[in-house]
Amino acid sequence: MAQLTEQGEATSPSPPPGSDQGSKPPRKRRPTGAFAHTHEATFPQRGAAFWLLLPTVVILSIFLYYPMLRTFWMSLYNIRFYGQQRRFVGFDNFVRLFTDPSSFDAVVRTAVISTIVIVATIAIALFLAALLNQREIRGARVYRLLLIWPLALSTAISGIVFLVLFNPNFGMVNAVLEPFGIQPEWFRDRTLAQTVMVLTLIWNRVGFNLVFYTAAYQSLPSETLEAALVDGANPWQRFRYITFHLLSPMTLFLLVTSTVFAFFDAYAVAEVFGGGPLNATSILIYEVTENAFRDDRIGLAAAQSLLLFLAVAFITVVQLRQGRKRVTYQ
Amino acid sequence: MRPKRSALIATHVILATATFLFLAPILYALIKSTQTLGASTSTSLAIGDQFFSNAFAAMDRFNLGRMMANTVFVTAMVTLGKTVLSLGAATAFVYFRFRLQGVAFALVLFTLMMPTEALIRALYDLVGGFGMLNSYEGLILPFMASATGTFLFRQHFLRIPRDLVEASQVDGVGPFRFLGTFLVPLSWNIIGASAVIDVVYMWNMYLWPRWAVTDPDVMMVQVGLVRLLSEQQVNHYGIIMAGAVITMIPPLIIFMLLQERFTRGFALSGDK
Repeated sequence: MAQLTEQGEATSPSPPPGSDQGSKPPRKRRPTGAFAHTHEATFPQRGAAFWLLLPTVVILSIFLYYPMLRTFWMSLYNIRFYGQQRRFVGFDNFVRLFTDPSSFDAVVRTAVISTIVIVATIAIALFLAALLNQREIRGARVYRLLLIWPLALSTAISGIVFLVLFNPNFGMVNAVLEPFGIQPEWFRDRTLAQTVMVLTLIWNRVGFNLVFYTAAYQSLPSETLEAALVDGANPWQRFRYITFHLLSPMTLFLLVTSTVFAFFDAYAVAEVFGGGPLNATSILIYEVTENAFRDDRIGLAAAQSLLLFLAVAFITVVQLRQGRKRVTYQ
Repeated sequence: MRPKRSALIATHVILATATFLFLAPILYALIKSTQTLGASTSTSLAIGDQFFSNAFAAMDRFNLGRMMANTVFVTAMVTLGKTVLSLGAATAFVYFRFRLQGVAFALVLFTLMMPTEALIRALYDLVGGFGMLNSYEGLILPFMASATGTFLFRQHFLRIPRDLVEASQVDGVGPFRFLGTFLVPLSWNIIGASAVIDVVYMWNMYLWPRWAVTDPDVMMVQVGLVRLLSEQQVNHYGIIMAGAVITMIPPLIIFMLLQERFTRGFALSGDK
């Protein structure tokens, strides 16, 4: 990054084509999106920019970019005896992810659990936000404060609370179910354990999405909604055709954060549940740590990590692209 | 136009039911935290009088007090560090023009999609190589930089009218004073919003501190509590739940202090 401070050219670098440096056209023409240079430099001292940016660049390079490259490298090797012995195997680790039955099971399991968690947390939060943001609802602030309370619990601690809540011997859930004559063994059955895991994650995360949707609601243009009202749109039509579209940048943003949550933060719940029974709650990130730290399969762990990373990267790219060609109704 | 009365009642019924479902596990934890050993492993939902003795046992006998302080300290340091560093980075991106600016910005932006958890083994080896396992540095340093924060502050700065910026330039102040005396006072809402994100992020963090720290004196509380349970050091669920209840207090305080600012911060920033 030494080039950042290089002295010399007094002129600022030429802007990318299409950016509105200089002639200042109206705001709407800004097609270069995130990378646009929007105006002239305020400060000519480029040395200061170097010092302002240096800590961020250094931290990101050391603690993100280097481990990232290192993970790529590890995924191409068969590493045994905790690094003492390694053999180049190309893409074998990735092939194994999809051909080895137990590895592939983990991929499918993770995809199913994550999809349910992602869709449910976003849908429930959007539904609650829509109810809370009708202008006539009294006590909306109180509801909202109470609804985001689970956010104060770390995901791991949510897992502990749900473990006790669903305890077959003294948990509240089975106590409630007792009059109906059902006493499920929540942590002995694979599907039931996965259900509890999904419920824990949804419960823990809806509040986060609700906070963001609430914020997004506050910046909706009221003229547009009032125009629709004049046109005689019913509440559902207003939501379906206007609000939902106006909120879509936020939905895309929450899609990314919820995916990260379902892939990675869910690790805490998987560990509280011990990954069981019979690997039922052993999602990919849990397999990663098992392989990387316990089972001496560092190469495979790296390949599993990269699969998760690629999925997150894909969704992030979709979000950034959609964000640029955002629909406006003004 | 007001909705029909029945629709209004239906809305309240749905909201009240949802609120009850979301609060029930917390109420359950609160009740359990007050019970004796015997009651805590029964289906009893009677409120007991053991909260303070349970909480004291958790904090003192099982070291959760120390771990709680660790979590608060690490969270505060990361939040502060992220805020300062991303304010600086955003200033560099908006108020300066330098070579490779686009490359530098892309470098920061791409880390949005790089969750540390996916790099766990490589990061573990790296931090181990620095001799920072079992240390606060190992829990804090890797998380000091923030693409999200940089992005939020950059978006905000781009919205500050240029006339205002130019007016503030009459006295010829330097960039650092400009940041401190002009930009920061205009950014409190965004600072609040990004602080809430950072606090929730650090509070939820589990994977990294669980592997990077084995020393109980440095351990974060969420890791310590799971360990208590899984190693069966305690079978008194009253104590476990008292520990869980105590960990809720700091984030609740933060939410109450920052909720308004947070909502306004995002309302101001328009999108995002």
